[in-house]
Amino acid sequence: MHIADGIIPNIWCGAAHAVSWTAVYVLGRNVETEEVVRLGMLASASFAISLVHFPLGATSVHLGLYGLAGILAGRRAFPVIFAALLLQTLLFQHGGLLSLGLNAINMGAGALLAAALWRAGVGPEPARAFLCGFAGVVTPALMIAVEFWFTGYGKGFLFMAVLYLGAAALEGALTAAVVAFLRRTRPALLMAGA
Amino acid sequence: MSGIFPSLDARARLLAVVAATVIVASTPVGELAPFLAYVPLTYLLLRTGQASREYLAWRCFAAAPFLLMAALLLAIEAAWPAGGWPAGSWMDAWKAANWDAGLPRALSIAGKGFTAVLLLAFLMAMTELADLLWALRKLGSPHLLNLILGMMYRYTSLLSEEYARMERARDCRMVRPLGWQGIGVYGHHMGSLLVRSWDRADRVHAAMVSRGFTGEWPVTRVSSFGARETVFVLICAAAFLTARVLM
Repeated sequence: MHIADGIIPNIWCGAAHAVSWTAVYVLGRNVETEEVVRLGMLASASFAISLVHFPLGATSVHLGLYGLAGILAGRRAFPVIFAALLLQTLLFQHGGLLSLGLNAINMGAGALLAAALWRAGVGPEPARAFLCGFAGVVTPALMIAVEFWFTGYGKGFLFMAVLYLGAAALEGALTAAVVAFLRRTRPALLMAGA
Repeated sequence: MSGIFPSLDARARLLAVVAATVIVASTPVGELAPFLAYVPLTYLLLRTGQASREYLAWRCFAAAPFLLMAALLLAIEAAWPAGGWPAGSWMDAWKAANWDAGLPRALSIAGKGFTAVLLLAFLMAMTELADLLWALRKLGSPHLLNLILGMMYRYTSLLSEEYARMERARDCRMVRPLGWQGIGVYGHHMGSLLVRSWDRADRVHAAMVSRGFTGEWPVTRVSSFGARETVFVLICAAAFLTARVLM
């Protein structure tokens, strides 16, 4: 789901870079050193888990964990996701240096929406956790589809976004399972992002 | 690593690749002539280092599905511009398509995408990750980002190994492979890794504070961005820009 370089016009990529770097700065202000270490460790754990592939039909999917990052890190999820995407770009060439800002906005929006849903506290916790995981995948997919549509690629990617519903359901179920585990063993973690 | 490129300051390597990528990506969709110059220029740039051809080919192969899908979407959009997908059979639709408009657009998008992937893969093949993170820091990336990236660089591989050990332990104790019904088990494993990471973070923080950490990584690396680096970046940018403007 990472947009590669050369696909979206430079003007879009430039504007997205400006927005995302500003967001990293604004959402990462006044952070305590203790929290930095935890954010770094959360980013490392999320990155490690996202490398695990799950079979899905003839292919396989890997997790993004954007919803879980939103639950655990709150608004700080944006800098965490930006850092993870930058590392993915450099190590695996998933995405590109020009499209990094756009990718960060897409994935970060999913995490921030999940953070807002989690903090809203409406509904039973397992359902809310599922919704956060689901929104963490569907939001970026829809945003990419809209960006493709607006930049001349037609509505074809909307069809691709629909295909992501299966991955979103998987991510939602896993997020709910992780949250249930944390609620039993370490509930303080679920309060950290609030 | 031998060659001109790896001997340069990491900032110069990063800037040269970004400049070339920006210029290539700015080529208007459908214009193929500049690629007659981009291809030899990219080849010349790759010759300034000795990256493994297999590695570069593998990175391009890995990026191919997304790039080809984008190119295909653009080709389809250009092939049936007015009324969308025509009524009738697939053959009728194929005959009605305006491929003359769609093909150059698709080829240019694929060309831009693969060139960008190639340049980035070359940068990574020629540069240690620690050097690149240092370069980003020296170029003024936000403080929090530098700290998170530093932590990730240190702990991602360690936590990946820890997760792999947990998986191995789980597989050893199971009678049959874990299927979809075991989604709760996967969730507990991930939660367990997060709890371990959190505990480790507290220990790491205590150790860092005991060594005098006040929110800044100490800088021990010495490197300079001299005339050699400036000339290389300028030549690289000028060559790609000339190709972009003149072709």
